[in-house]
Amino acid sequence: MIRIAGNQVVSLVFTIYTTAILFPPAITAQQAGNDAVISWVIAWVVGFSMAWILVALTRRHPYQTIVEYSETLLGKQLGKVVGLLYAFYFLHVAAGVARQAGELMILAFMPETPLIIFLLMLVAASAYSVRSGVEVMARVGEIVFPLILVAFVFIFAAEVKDISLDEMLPIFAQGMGKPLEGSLVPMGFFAELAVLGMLLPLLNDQGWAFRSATAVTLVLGVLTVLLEFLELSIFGARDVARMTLPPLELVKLIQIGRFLERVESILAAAWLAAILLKLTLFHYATTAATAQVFGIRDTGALVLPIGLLVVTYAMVFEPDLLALIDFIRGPFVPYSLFHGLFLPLFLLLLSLARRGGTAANEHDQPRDVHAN
Amino acid sequence: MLKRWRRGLGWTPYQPGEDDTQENAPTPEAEETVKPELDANLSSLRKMFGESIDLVVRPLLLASKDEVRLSVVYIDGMVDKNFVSDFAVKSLALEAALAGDLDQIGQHELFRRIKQRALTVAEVHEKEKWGDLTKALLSGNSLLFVDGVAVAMVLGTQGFEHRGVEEPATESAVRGPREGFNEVLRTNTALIRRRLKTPDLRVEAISLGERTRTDIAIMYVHNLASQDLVEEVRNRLKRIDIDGILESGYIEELIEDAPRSLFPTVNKTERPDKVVAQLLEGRVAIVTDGTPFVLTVPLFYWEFLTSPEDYYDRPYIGSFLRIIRLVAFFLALTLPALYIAATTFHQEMIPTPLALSIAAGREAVPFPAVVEALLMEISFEVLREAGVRLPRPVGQAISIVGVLVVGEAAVNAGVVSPIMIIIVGATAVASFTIPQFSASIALRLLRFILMILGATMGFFGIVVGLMTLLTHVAALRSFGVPYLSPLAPMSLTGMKDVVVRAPWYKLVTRPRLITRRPSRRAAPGQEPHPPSTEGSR
Repeated sequence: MIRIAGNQVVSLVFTIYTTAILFPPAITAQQAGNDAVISWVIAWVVGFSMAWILVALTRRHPYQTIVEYSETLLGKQLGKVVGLLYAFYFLHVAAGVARQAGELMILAFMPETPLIIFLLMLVAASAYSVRSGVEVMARVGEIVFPLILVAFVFIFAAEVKDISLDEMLPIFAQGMGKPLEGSLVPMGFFAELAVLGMLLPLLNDQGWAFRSATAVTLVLGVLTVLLEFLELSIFGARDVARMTLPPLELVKLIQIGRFLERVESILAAAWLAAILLKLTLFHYATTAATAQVFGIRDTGALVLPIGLLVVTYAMVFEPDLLALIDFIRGPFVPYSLFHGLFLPLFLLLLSLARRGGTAANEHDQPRDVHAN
Repeated sequence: MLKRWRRGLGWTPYQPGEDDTQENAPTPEAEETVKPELDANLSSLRKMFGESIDLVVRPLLLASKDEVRLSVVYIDGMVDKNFVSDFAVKSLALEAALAGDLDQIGQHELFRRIKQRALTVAEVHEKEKWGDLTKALLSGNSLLFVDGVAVAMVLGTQGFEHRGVEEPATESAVRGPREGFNEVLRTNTALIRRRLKTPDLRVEAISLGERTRTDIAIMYVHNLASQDLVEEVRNRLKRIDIDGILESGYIEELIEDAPRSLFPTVNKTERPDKVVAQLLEGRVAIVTDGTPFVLTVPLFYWEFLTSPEDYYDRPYIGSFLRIIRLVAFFLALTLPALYIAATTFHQEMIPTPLALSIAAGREAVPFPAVVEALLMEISFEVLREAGVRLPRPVGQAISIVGVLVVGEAAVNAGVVSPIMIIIVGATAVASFTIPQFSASIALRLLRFILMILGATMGFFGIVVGLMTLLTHVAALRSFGVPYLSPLAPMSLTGMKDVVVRAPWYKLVTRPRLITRRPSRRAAPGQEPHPPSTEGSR
C-alpha cells in the first residue's frame, strides 16, 4: 500500500503556486488596481475553506479518494460521472500547466523552439515520475520544496530595498467590489487544491489531513500574496496591469552589487523544477482518478496514454498566449471553482445528510464559505 | 551469413565430449568418505589433483612394534613450511612413542592418541568426507592420513605470502587510523574485531564461486542489525551461482537492488574504522577473501559525500567540508552543461565584461561550445585513463605533456578557448573531492548527458534532466532503505548527520531507517560544561 507523510503532501501540493504567479498577478492588477493584494488575501481565505471541506470529507471517508467517496455518496452511475469530471479537470490542469511552462520558456528564453518540444520533454519527465510512484514523487517534492523557499527568501531579500508602500495607496478607492472581482481568478487557482482529494487519502496517518491541508494552503497563500505585494509595491498597479509576466519583470530587477545581476535564468530554473512537479502531480491525479473510475488495477499502463492526452490537449485547447490568458480570466474561474469548491461542498452536505452530522469533524468549515 | 562466417573461421560450439567424463570418472564425490587404506586415499588425492606438482605428500613411519604408516599432505606455498615440519612432521616422528603399541590399543585408539598426545598443532579437526578434506587442503591446511583409519585429520597450518596491513590507497585521511584492509580474509575480520570487542559481533562464513570457492564473511552486530536485513543479505548471497569470485565487485553486482542504475547501492571501503562505524549503525558488512574492498549495506546516497575524517575532526570543519563537497558534486555534474547552456542560449546572464572576454577567447575557435566541451571532456577522460594505466613515473610525464603542453598549445592554436580549459579543469578538480571513487563514476557519465541536454534545450533541458535524475535516485532503494533518506523521506534527527555533522553529544540516536526502531548510541546530555560556569562568579 502506498502511503505518504504529511509534510510530503505539503511539498507536492504547494507547487500549485507555479502557475498562479505567472499571468494572474497582472489580471488581478487590471481588475482590482491597488487592491490586488487584498484580492489575493480574500482568495486565500476562501482557499482555506476549500482545503477544509476536503479535509472534512476525508475524515468522514478515511482512506478514500474524492472519486471513491463520490461513488459511495452518489451511487454507482452518478458517482462515476463525478469521478470522470475530476479526471478530466485534473487532465485539464495538467495540460494548462504544461502549456504555460512551454509558453513561458518561449516568451522569455527560447523564442525559436517549437512548443511541442517543450511539451514532449516535460510530459516525458512527468510520465517517468508518475510511473515511479507517488512515494517517489513525494520524495522529489521534499527536496525541491526547501529550494523554492530559499529562492523566495532570496527574491524578497534582494527586492526589499525597492519596496515603496506609497505605490499601494489608496486602498479601497472604489469600494469592496473591485477587490472581490479581482479575487475570482486567484480563487480559481486555489480551487486546484481539489487535488488534495486524491492525496489526503494516501496519508499514512489520516489525523494529519487537517494539518497538512492547512499548512499547504498557508504556504500557497504566503507565496502568492508575497509576489503580488512585491510587484504592486515596486511597479505600481498600473504598470503591473500592462505586463504579461510580472514575476519575470520582478526578478529581472534583481541586482546585488555589480556582479550578481540578471539572475532570472537561475530563478526560472527553480520555478521550472516546481512546475514540473506540479505537472507530475496532476498527471498522477488524472491517472489515479481514471484508474479508480474504471476500476483499472495496473495504473502504470495508463501513464503514457494520459501523458499523450496531456500533450495533445495542451497543444489544442487554446490557439495562442492571449487566448490562454483570456481563458484564465474567463471560463477557468467557474470551471475550477465548480471542482474545487462547489462539488466538494455538495458532497460534504450530502455526506452530512446521509450519516448525520455526528462524525468527528471539529474542523468542519462549510459555513465560512457562505460568509465570503 | 553469420553461420557461414562461423564455419569459415572454424568456430564450433563447445560440446561436452568424452574427455570430460573420463577426467571426472575416478575422482571421489564430495560426499564420499575416506577409505581405511592409506595408498588408496593417496592415489585418489593425486588423481583428483591431476598429479599437480604443488601437492606434497610426506610419508612417515610411526615407530612401534608394527610400523604404522602415516602421510602428511599439503599444498606447497599455501602452508607455513616451518610450521609443518616443526609441529606436525617432527612431533609425529619423535613423540610417536607416546602413542603406544598398536597391538594393545587398536587403530582408533592410536588415532586418538596421535591427535591428543603427539601432535603439537593448535588447530586439529577430524573430517571424513572428501569434499571437506579438499576444501581444507585448498585453504592451506595439511591433512594427516593414518593407514587403517577411515578418518583424516585436518591440521591448521595456513601460511601463504600476502601483503601486510598498509595505508589504504583510495580513501586517505589526514586524521584517523592509517590501517587499511589487505587481501586476507582473516586479517580483515581481525582488523574489524580488534576495534569492536564485543561478543555480539557475529562473523558468518559462506563460500561462493563453484571453482574459486572464495571465502566470504558476513559480519554484523547482533541486536543492532535487524534480523530481516541479515536474513536478506544471507539470501541474496546464497542465490549467487557463479564459477569465480575474484573481487567483491562480482558480489556487488549480483546482490544490488538496482543493477541497471548508474548509481551503486552497495557501499565499499578499504578502511576498517569505516566498516566498524557502519556496523555500529546496524549495517551488515560482507568481507571477501582476496580483496581489500569490504562491502557494507544498506547505503544512503549522501554517504558518498562523507569521509570518516568528518567524524574525527571538529564538527565545524567536518560540516564545512561536507558543504564544500556538496557544491563540488554539483559543479562536477553540471558545470560543463551550464557553461554550454549559458554561452549558447542565455548569454544575457553572464556579466558583460566576462561575456566579452569569453567571446574574445572563443573568436578563433572553429567549433560551437558543445563540440568544444565534448572534445575537452573526452580528452580529459583519455588523459585520466592513461595516467591510471601507465606505470607511476611515466604517468606523471603523461600528465605534464598531456595537460600542460598540449593544453597550452591547443589554446594558442585556437582549437579550444581558454575559458573551456578552466571549465574542464574545475570540473575535474571538483569531481576529485568526492571521497568515494565509485560515486564519481555515475557523475562522469551523467555529465555528458547533461551537456547534450544543455546544448539542445538550454537551462530547460538541464532542469528537466536533473529532475528526472532526482526522480530516478529517489526511486532507488538499498536493501529496502530509500536511497535518499534521511533527506527524502525527511527525518529531522537523521538530518543532523547529512549536510552538517552535528557534534557527537548531539548524535544520540542511530539512523532510524536502518535499525527500524529508534535506538540510542550515546547517552543524551553529554555536552561538556566547564565547571566554573555553575555557582562561581
